[in-house]
Amino acid sequence: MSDSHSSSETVATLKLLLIGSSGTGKSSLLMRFVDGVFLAPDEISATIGVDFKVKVIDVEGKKYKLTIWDTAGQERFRTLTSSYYRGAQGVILVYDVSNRDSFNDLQTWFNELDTYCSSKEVVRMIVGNKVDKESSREVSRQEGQEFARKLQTLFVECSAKTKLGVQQAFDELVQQIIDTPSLWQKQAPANVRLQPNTETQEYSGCAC
Amino acid sequence: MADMDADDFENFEFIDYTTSGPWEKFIIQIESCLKQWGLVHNSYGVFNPKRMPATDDNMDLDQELALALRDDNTPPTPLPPPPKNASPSSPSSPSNEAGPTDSDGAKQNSSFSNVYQHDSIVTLDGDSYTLSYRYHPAKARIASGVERVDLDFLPTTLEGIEHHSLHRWTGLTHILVLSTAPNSTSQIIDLGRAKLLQSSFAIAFQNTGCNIPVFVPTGQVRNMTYTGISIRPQHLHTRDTELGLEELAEDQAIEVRFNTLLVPYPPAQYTDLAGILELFIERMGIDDDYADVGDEDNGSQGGYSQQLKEQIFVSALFSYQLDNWYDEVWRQWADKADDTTQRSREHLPNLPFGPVQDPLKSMQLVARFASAPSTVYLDSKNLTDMDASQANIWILKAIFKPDDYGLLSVILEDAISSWSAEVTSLLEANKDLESDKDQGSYTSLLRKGARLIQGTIAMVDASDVENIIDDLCTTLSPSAVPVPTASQPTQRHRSLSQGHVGRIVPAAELGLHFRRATTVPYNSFLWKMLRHLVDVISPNSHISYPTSFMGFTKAVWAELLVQFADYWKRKEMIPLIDIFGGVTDEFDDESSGTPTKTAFIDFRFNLLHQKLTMINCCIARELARQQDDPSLSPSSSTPTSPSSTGIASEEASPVLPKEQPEASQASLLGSPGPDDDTANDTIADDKAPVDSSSSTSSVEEKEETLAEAMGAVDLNLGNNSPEMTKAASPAVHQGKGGLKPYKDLKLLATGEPLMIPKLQEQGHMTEDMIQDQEELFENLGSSVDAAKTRAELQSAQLISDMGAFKAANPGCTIGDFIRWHSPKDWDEKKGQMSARMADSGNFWQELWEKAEALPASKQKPLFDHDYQAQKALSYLNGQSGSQIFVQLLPSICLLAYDALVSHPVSTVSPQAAKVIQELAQVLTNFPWDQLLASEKSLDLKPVIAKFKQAEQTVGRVVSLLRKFPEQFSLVERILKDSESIVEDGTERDCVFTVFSAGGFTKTVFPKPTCREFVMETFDPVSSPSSSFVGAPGPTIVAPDDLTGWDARPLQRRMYACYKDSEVRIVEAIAKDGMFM
Repeated sequence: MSDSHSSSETVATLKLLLIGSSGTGKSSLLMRFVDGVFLAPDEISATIGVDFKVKVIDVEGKKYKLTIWDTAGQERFRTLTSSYYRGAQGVILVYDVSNRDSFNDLQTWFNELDTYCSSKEVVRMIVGNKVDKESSREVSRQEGQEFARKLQTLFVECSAKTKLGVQQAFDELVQQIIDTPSLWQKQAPANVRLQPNTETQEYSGCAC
Repeated sequence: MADMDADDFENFEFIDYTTSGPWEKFIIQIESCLKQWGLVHNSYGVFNPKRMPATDDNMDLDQELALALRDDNTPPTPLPPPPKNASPSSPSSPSNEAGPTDSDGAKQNSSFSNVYQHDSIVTLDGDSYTLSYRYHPAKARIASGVERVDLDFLPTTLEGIEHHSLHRWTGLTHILVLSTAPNSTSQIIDLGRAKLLQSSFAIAFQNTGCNIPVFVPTGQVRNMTYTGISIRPQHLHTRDTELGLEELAEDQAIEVRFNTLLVPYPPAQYTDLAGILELFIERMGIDDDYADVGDEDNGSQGGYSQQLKEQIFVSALFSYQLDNWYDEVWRQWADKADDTTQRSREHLPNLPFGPVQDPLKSMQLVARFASAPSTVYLDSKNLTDMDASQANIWILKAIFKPDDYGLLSVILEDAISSWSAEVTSLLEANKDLESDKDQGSYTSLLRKGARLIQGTIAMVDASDVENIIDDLCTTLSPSAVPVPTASQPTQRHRSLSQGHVGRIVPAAELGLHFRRATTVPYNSFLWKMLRHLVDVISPNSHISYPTSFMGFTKAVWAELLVQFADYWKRKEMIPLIDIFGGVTDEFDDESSGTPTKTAFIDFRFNLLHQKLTMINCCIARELARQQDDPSLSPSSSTPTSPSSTGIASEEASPVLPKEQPEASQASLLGSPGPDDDTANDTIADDKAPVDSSSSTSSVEEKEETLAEAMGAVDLNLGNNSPEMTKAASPAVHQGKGGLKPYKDLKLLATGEPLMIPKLQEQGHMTEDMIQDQEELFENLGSSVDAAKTRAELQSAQLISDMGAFKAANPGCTIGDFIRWHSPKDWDEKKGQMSARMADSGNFWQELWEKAEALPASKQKPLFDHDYQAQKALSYLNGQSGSQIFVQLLPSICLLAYDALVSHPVSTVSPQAAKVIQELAQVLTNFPWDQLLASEKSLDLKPVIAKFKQAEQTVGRVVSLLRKFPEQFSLVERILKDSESIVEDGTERDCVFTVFSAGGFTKTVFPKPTCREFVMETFDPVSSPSSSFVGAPGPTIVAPDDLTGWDARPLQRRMYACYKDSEVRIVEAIAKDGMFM
């Protein structure tokens, strides 16, 4: 794809992942962030398996290409979607502040994430979506924060609908990844060296 | 004082203009050096102890000086510009320090962060000299509370730097040492010259107010005999004030003369304390005011009175040397119960580590007799109580052999270099050499006991290979329950030292911290294989013909490939490859085999392991299928079917002719070039990139292939759908075909209970398959169409689910399906689907239309286990020896780590634990993923080096603990600082025993190899500040007593050292007033 010419200007490609129960608005978040538009979860077809969108962002004058993978929330797709966890540098666990079940499910999602990527390899962020539905809120901000604190993740509330906090959520996640170069940086290939071949003769020497 | 300073500098400037004689010039040079170093008005200048923290970063000279001067009591004086006639060479430049007279002195190298020496060149009559200002950090270290340092016998090595012996001989921390410059014609300074030089310094000291002694070598350089002088203008000082000395005028300075005597074979009467005490009294010209009184009591003892002797303080230091003796079993762990039993199950010897021989070279015991009036110690010709057991303090020092060899790191190096040799030879060799012919002829050659291995020839004994294969494949019969892949002997904890150290990560866990799927599970099949392979090149190996690691690896691997294919053919699980991902220690209850376990491929381990897991998963599928359909397997009693539990019997499926893997196997064994294989795989993946099955977009295909559909397997939503299993498990009543109702839902149209259909078990994918798929998805782009395509590509499973649902629930609608499959898309109140599902163009609806009502058992399988197993096998076959090695290298390192971490020493020694933790960190941070990602080579030297360091530390702990069993604390302290004070009690007893035993023959405590005495007296008797900190003595310098820096009235002091049948005496005699 466009990789060949875009890679020349982008510093790195970062893989981000959106997970969480179905109907929490993962696809809406993604669409809001990437395309700047809002479609209610009702209007976006339920994701089948995984899908992704690409966005190039500027951080401190450097361009980063984000491939953001959106996953289906339905139980039955989990085996399929969990395959894609590996290699992600950032994971956003999404719940719906107006739906307690989706919040309660976080622990399950988190456990699953743990199985597929160790904490050293990935920056995690818990996002409470749909804060625009304040009237029907079932999960308080406090609860969300405490949970994030317990699991030692980033935390933010946002609304894909009003776009409140969406940009900030992604920005913060990316910033955290960039601040941890071991997550994404390749070692400079210039000075890597093979173990010296001093013993070469030794092994060819026993040829009898 | 302030006026004085100004005057001095003005005079200096003035003299500079008028002087012409070489001697005056010389003095000026000295003065400018002293000023450059800030040695004016009794200041310590650049080495101001108050500004010399024990550990400090290097500052440049000006900074140091600026800081030092600011702290001085003297008013800030403008720094004179560096004298033009002085050497331009910068202070402490290494080239200037290597003067031959310094052979014993500081072997500084520029890498040290602390500079304790400044050099400058001075010239007199065409002879060049190096004048160096040297500093010994002992007091600073005490002041900062770093450690205990003997101030009477300043250590010659401190902070990793060798200090000038003069520090020890004189007990002075600040000295100036003159030596002939390296380029000088004559290296010997004769006595007359030395006097002239000293006089020059005396004048320079007068002019500058420098009170640092200077030492000038005389005679043979190697003798290191020095004469020296210092002039200490009396200045007001708190301590002096206390002592009532404030009346002393400025000009009544104290002059101290230093002298060295070196006597090769001293007369017998001077070889004991009594003898040199008399010498001291004689040399120092001490008048025995009490002679009359003492005569009666001590007539026999040289005629000096007891009272006089009581005013002479003596301290002594005896050194004992014990060379280590040969100990074949030096590494034997004293705590046997800990060591041997736990590993007895293993057939293989432990991987050796550490040096080959006992790393301990020798031990040095220093017995310190604290400063006390000379009458306290009895040491005369016939009688002595000065032996080690009487000493106040013991200090034990261990000297280790140079670190040149580490068994474990050499094993790693061997393995790696045999791989690099292989890579190199492959590059050089003709391409034909690695072709099929070579591979094909492998087996026959192996039978003959030797084999040509791709460019290099290695002797591999066929029986050795067979033994390994046997152990891997048959010792654990395949019917045995799968062995936990990650259980590791639990670490024993010794409460003693564990407090100081963080947890040591066991190898099984550390493997998971490696970067990206690079290791194999602890004790898994490949782990065991590696244990065997590494053992081949280990010195402990029982292998008949040790050969290169790669040679053996390839021989064993080739044999294993045959075995893998055979396992698949026999549908027998490969041992020690757990398909349930029993990776954590807690889950070794494999015997109970809970039915809810679902097979999966664990991406945390490397691809080789994943592929083997894939084969086992496929075998499990096949076994499950056979169990469902007894006609397929008459011997269905095979207890190896892990997923068979909990499977309800299915409708009989048509018999699938068992595929004969022979044909493909033959070609696999022929080992087509890896390229061909990869190409094939890629094509296959492109065709079937989705859903880990061969059928992706081909919903229609299903019909024709239905007849051949292999038995569907259990419903098993288990592992990943707690909600649904919860709902389903109560199994109130079973519907037709083992169906279960879902909650109490009724079908929208018919009112029948909504049944959960049996679903196809999901497929398995290895990491590379996912990557391919991901790439494919990405290449589609991010357009709306592409998204649709992706959805289509991933819809096979959804269609299958829909079909099964339709079959289970006749008359159902998509609404029913949604209520079960995606409950959030169903609005219970309104009784309708969510807007997104209800939308007319919704893709789910599209699929719903397509899906045909068919029970899962009759559908075309989503996961073609037969195909996938073959693919995995062909992947394994396609890997070259070098590729195998690259995949296994991280695990090899992990294995080596395991050898260290599982030794009990890591639980008793914080030092060992620390270095092992560091090693773990190095291994964790190493970019293994890049090793796998490309052909790019990585520098493994830091890893090897860390291994070496770790094994050497562990080796040392083991060695010392063998000498001093159970003395964990002592050993720890020695290792930390290379020497340690031996505490009274068991530690002392233990050390005494070792020195008395001294190997096999000796039974008595050895004679001291070196005896050092310091005698001091003070005139008038003032407060001697000599002390060994913490030792009983006349005065103790408190660590924070910074005024004590100047408070050592160096009056009359003699240092005597008996060593190698010669005695060195360095005396310091102070005289009041100036007699120049």
